Amino acid sequence: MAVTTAPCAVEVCEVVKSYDHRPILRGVTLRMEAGETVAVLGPNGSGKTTLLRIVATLSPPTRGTVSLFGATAGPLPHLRRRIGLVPHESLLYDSLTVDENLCFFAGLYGLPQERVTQALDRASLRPIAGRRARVLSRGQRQQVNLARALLHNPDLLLLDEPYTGLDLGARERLTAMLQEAASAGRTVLFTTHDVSEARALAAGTTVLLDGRLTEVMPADRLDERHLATWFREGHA
Amino acid sequence: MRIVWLMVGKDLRLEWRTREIITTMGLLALLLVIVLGAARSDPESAPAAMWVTYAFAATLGFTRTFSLERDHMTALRLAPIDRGAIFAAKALANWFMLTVVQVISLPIFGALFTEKIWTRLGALALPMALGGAGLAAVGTLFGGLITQVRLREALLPILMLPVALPLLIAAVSATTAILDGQSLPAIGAQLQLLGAFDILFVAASLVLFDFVLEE
Repeated sequence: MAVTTAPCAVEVCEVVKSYDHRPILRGVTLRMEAGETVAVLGPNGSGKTTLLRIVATLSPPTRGTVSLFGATAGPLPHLRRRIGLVPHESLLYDSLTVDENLCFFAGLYGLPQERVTQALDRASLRPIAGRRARVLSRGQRQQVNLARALLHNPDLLLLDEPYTGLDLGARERLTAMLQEAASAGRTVLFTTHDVSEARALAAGTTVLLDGRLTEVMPADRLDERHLATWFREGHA
Repeated sequence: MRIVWLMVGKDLRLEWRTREIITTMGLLALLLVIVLGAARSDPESAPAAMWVTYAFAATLGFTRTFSLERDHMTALRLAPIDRGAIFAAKALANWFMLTVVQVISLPIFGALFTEKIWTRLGALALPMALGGAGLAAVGTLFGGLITQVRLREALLPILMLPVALPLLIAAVSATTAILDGQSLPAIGAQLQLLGAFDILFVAASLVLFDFVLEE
């Protein structure tokens, strides 16, 4: 009897990315099973965001291949529908309320209004639903951003340094939301330069070094002092 | 069409709350009308003054439209929607804002250049709408193209105005004829040229906008 195996959620194979002949990624290979949570850890300028944008199909690799759920990645609507992205910058419209923002993005995906109601309830955003995005704290914005990215129930959730600028309370709320998203069977790939953030969420941690993947290890085996030295020694 | 109206509604709601683009375009238009009127306020100069004002107000406003959308473009690109719908929505919102500026500035043109504007308002509406639509189509296409480019404010007029030149010449010609008392059927050739330009640019942009948005 033939054994059929489910395709990987994310398969990045020998990906090279250059801007103006300056290499950012130099042969990155990464494989993520469906439902896995992986942190991409690395100093500033190591290519974390570039890798995330390539996986999100927003930027094509200069060389190498990327597959998502067994299909070659590209700007294809059926693939993009399966991706939820929380980039470093906020995607919310400052002059719209939280509710209006979520309704707009739900409309883009053809989702019913109930989905917005559910998202507001699930992320405990009901008290701020009528507030304009401009007046939200960084933590609240990030929660709304995550709720926006999860509106269409994506199979793959990509987050670019989601904890940047958050206080302890906001970090805990965001971690809870992310853990809930991961426990729902989503594949989660996020970037960070903070070991504790990687530990909080990821079972496997990918380490990037100057655009090259150097190590893949379980998050609980991360040696903070080793990493601190590694960052300090100018691998950015 | 649902997506187009969703996006137009969002753009107009944002503009209603901030009044950022209309105010900028309106102030520039006002300044240009006054300066042009001070230099030469005879009735013959009115059509050229009108279209110079609209063209420059359009370049300023359309650059702003995409600057405000720059960060959100990632979400629009990831959404499973037709890229043509993004163009159509942006072009419609731009057209609407340019029309508001046209309507607001008409009384000043009437006061400074020629009172014939008041008696020929109905006939003027058609070339103004067709010319405005063409400017919105070209401006939206090039505005989208240079969203990620530095110095985009300087770049848009350089790219947009040469391409829009046939449209502007036809619009000035049609406006001159109407203010001279000619009827709409008499200026059919200019109106056809304006219409053809609009159709050509809207059709081309609907196809090309996919390439404009993707890296």
